[in-house]
Amino acid sequence: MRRFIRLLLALLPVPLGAQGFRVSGVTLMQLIELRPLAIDSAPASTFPGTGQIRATPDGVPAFCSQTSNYCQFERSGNPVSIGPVMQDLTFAGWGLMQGLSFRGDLRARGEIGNDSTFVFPRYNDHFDVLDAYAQLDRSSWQARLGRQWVMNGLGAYDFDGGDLLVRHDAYSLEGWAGRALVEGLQEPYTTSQLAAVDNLPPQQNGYIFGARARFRPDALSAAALTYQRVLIADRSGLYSERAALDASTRRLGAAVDLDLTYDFATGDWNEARLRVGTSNVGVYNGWIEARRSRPFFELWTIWGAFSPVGFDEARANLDWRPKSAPIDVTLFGGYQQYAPTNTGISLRTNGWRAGGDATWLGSHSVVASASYAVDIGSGAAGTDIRGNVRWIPSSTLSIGAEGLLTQNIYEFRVGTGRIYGVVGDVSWFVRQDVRLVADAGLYQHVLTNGAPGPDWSQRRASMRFEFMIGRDPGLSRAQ
Amino acid sequence: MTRRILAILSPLIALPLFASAAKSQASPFPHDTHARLFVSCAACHAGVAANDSARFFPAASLCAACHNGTVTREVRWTPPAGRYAGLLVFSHRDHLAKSKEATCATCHALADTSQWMNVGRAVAPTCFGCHAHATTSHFAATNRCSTCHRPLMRTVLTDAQLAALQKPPSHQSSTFVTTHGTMARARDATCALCHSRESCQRCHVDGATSPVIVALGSDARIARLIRGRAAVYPTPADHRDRKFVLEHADVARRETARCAICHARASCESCHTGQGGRDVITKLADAMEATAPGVQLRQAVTLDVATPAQTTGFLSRIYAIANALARSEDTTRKVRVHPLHFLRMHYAVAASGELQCSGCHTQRFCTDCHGGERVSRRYHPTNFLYTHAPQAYGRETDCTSCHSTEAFCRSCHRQLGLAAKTNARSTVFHNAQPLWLLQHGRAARQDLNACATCHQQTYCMQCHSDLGARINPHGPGFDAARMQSKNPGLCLMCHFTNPLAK
Repeated sequence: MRRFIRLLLALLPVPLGAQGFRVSGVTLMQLIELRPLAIDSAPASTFPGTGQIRATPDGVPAFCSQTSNYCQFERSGNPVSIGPVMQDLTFAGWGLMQGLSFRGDLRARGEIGNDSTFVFPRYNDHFDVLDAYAQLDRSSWQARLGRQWVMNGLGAYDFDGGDLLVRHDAYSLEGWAGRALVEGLQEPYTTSQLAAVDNLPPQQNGYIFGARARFRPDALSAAALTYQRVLIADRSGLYSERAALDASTRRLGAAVDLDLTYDFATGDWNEARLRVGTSNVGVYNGWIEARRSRPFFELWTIWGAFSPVGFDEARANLDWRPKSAPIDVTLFGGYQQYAPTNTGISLRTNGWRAGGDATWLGSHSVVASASYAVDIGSGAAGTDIRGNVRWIPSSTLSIGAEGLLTQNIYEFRVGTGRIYGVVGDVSWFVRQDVRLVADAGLYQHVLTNGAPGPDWSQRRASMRFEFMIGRDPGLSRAQ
Repeated sequence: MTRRILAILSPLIALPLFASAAKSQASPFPHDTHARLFVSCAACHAGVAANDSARFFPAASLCAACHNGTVTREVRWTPPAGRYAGLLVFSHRDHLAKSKEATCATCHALADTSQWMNVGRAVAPTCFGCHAHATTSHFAATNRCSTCHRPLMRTVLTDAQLAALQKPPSHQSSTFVTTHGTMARARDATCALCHSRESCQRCHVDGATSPVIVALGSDARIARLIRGRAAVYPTPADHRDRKFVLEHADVARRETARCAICHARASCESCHTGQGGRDVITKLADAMEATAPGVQLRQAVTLDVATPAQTTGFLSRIYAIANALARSEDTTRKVRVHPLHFLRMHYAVAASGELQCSGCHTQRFCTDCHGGERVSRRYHPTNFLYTHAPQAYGRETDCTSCHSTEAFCRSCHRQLGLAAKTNARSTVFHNAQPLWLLQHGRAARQDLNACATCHQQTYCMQCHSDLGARINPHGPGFDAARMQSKNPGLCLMCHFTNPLAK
């Protein structure tokens, strides 16, 4: 591959031999076993009781239609084995002129050994261009053109277009515009990926416009104000219009972080979060946080008109790291209180979570950790216990093993169960620029209380191969 | 001329000064045996007073006058020749000129006798009889070593002799490693007396470019002595401040030469995988230029603590195994670049720009997670597929920042049989609540994002639209006009006509 690229560079009209390039790739292969829920039926006479809602002799709820002699219920279907394979390739080149570089992230997906019709999410989309842009970087400004993304307090947004950043001392101003891509999807709004799962998908593409002003007076303080709107292509309206304010400082002996996101369409603050914590690492470190969260929906869906409510949350985290022993213990907890829904119906309106984890480091070669977490909230609850040991015999090899016990309870449906699992993993740098990672796990699912949930008992494994050819701009060559 | 004289005399006056190499004051020539034959030293050492190296030692023919095999037995004698190869700087002529009382015996007479020609090599205490140090210690920092000594590199001492040289007490100070630079740069620095550049290049990454180090010159014997000895990199005091990770950019730009002592580019590139700090990093030695391993930073989220002294039982065995596996020459430092749990709460510092993420991370680093599918970062724990529901309901993290609710969540839920595939009710799903249909409103308003991971919009529109039962889903605070002003078409998804047109 290296020879091929060098040959290619040599054939170009501009003498690029002294320029830089880098090609890196990640190949991910997974083995996943699933048992989807399947709908089954039996004569209504075999279900005790009357009415539409009955139960099988095992306690599994069943729906007995008044127009049918059969009742339907759910059971675990046949096991399905799928083998998703993902190939990522990243290309970067630079050096034609000062500050000019090119970059591309490509992703290909496929499946091997799939013995069913199950398609792992997005694996029927075989090829994606995650980004592909040219960048010109100068001391006081930076410009990008192509498929790219911006990361700000509103999230990560991909788009096809241009981005210009101007820097001056402690200030910077950035603006971007172009064809919008769906957040988390890297596809235009009219993509078939949305149409396949929603019968009211967007009919028009969107255009994104955004601006961000940053102020960074010193190394320990910064603030950013972001405004962004996604305009429907025919200019009939907006898919979203939002703003975010993020500020952070480590001055005054404390770490203070503030996040605010505002939705102009609903007039709601989607996130309002203030965290205050210790700024210096000592024996005891911690932070407390006050948060208000309300879900955000783009305006191509009707969900925002359903008046979703948010919750207020208080959280705390305490970390203890004694100087006399190589351990680190963290305790955390939080309490949520939902806003009134005005529905006149009584359901759980609060939630809480708590837990802790402990890490022990014998030397830099042996690390052991354990954690316990409980999360009780509206909709679902779970308890999770884990133990992990990692052995790092050298800087190129890491071997880990994990045991876990998880219990889930779904409030909005009958479904309780426990998962017992054992997972092992190995990470090996074959060379500095070639890495092989593999893991395998065995899970046993015990359904309880007549839960009809899918049986999650399975074997699961993955193997990841990472490589890099070339170097980063300005970096020394790989050794 | 002086060099030639000293070269001839060196075997007599230099080597004895090394305790290990020449503890004896005796001369290889049996002077006392010839005591009755010679009446003056100058008879044989005619050139000493004049620094005439050609006549410093007697010619072989002078010995052969008697040792010819007839008068007495033959001997082999070749006058020493060549450059001065000892450790001392010494001039017989100058000494004789400055002191009228001085004779050869003043320095060369053996201490325990005054017998004629009972002489041997001069020893250091004899020198100190006149040349008392300003201090009582031979190694006192105020002593000017070069007064008497010449650089080791200009001697012919063997490896063993070099290895046996005593380390000055000042070098054994715990602070010497961090303070010796100032002394080395001083005008009266004496490093060159004992050190070649290889001594410094054991630890100094910039050993090939530092003027002070380059000026020392190279010596193969010292290089052999240094070989295999691990580099030592004490952590400077300012590096211990946690804020140093955040503030070191200014220091690096201001004191790049200081960084270059211990850090090659690889040190910085442990974290600076992007463009940040390029202007400084490129000034450091690259892997080919570096003369020492340098401090190798390794990002870690584990603890940087030492092995407890009081550990017994199983733990002590674990420590022993781990320590045995650790390479003694390892110059790796564990650095907690980000605080614990930073991965789950990095959005504030990333969004505000407190940390210049691009200074260390490439864009790819972010898209590994924010690209929608996990590729290489273990952001979610194992078994997350089974445990993600509580976190999704409680919005522990913003799933939509990486995943499309529809294309990712709903697609999987549908295939697993968890999501409604049609608008028709076929089985009992929300069966924990017998009157779920009546109760779902609260659950929907509290967790509408979770509902959307299974249900399509038309599922709800069966009741909540003009197409269905026309049940109003809007809450009391719903601002229809505001939402309509942003997207008029949204209202028409459920309403046949503009509901606000009255």
